[in-house]
Amino acid sequence: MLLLIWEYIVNLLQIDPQMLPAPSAVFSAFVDHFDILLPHIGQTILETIIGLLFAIILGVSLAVMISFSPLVRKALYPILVISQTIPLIAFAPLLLIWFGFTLLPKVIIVMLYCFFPITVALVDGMGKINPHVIQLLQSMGATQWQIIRLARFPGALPSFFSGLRIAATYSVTGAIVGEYVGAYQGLGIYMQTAAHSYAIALVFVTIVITSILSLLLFGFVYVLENFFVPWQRAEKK
Amino acid sequence: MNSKLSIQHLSKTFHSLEVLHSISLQVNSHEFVSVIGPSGCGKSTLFHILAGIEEQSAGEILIDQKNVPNRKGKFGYMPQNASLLPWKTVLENVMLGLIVLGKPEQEAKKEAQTLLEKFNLSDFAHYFPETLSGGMQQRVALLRTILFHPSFLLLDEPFGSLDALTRHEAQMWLLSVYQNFKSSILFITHDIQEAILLSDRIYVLSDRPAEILQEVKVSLPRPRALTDLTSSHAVALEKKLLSLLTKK
Repeated sequence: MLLLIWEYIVNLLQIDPQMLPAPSAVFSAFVDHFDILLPHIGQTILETIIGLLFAIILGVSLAVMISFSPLVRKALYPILVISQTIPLIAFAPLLLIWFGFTLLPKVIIVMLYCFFPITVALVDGMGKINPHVIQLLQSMGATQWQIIRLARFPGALPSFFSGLRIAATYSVTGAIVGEYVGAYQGLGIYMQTAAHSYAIALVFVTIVITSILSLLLFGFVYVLENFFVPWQRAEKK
Repeated sequence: MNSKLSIQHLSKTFHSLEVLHSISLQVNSHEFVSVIGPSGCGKSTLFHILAGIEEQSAGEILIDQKNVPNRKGKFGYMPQNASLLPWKTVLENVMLGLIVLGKPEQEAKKEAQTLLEKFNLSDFAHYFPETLSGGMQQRVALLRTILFHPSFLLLDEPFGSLDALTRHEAQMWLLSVYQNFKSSILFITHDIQEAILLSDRIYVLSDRPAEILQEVKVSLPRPRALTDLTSSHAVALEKKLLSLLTKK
């Protein structure tokens, strides 16, 4: 519906295709440049996935450390929050200078973009574990490890996925930002090049692809969540 | 005297707030003993101490006439909230105690399944607790407790959250379980009639700091029925307990 309106208005008002291309123009640009686009898409996906995996590792580790030691929490939490206030787009060129035009700086940027929601959500979730459940297990003589395995870990999964959903939504954007600053390959640098060459249709193509990738990732996390957290689905019956 | 559990002069103080004062009580083999008292008087704390989650400030606890300092795992403890793990199915919840004890999963599953079948809950084996009614959840929690340690149960107001009809059903169901497993039971409730219906003896606790006000014997024959509550003995007992509980 929105696409039809968009198409109609562009034609009606004879808008300069360099300002706002019609959806049909965007689509044909996509088809024309498909084989060039493919490796760029692949590169961005690679950076996103690897960066997200590292974000999970970092996010979970920090959350566990913060949850188990009030001292660590006091020391670390403020630093983490401040780290999120630094505009990563300013930080990205630094990473480029340090690590060059490789995969690493992009992965680092995705990781920095994405670990925070995972950490915050998981710390929250681990704090909300029903103490009666823990007491019950203690009364049965359960070891600390059993308590983690039977209660703390599964109890924290819903919160983990909450954070992961948010992180996944940001992850593709993070990769794009990293590439935008400088890369050999990737949707970010492709978009920049297209913008500089006034190939606006191609800019729109990359925007649409980015959105689709983000949605796909979000959907994938949703599927994972339904697999690992089946009891929440049951509640909604 | 087959003393299964003997508590002698048990006291508990939290940060200069005395919660339990010199509690002495006893549960004999295959006895059903209730503890009644006003809300918030420290009954749950008593159970926490027995179950090994808390330490007493003073007093002795003898299990089978022996002093046992580490009491974790020595009782089938059922806390006030059903505490079913929401992320495990009914079957997995019932076998939880066996898993903690280190029993192999297949064996634990079989035992849990047998128990569910015996008490007509096997249809719900693969349901998650959230989808069950309160009464069902309490039954599942009770089966879990029994499977873990059938010989001695500590039940903290298991039927408090149920409506009157469901509560009566659950009480009769508990009695059948009690007969079946020949358990010794220590039972907390604030419901006088419930205590009379279920127990052999009743201890009455005072307000905080809780001490034993009185011990009464329930001389009703077993097996019990709801109609027993209308007998003259039961009615007299109820009057007596009510006056004890409402006296300041």
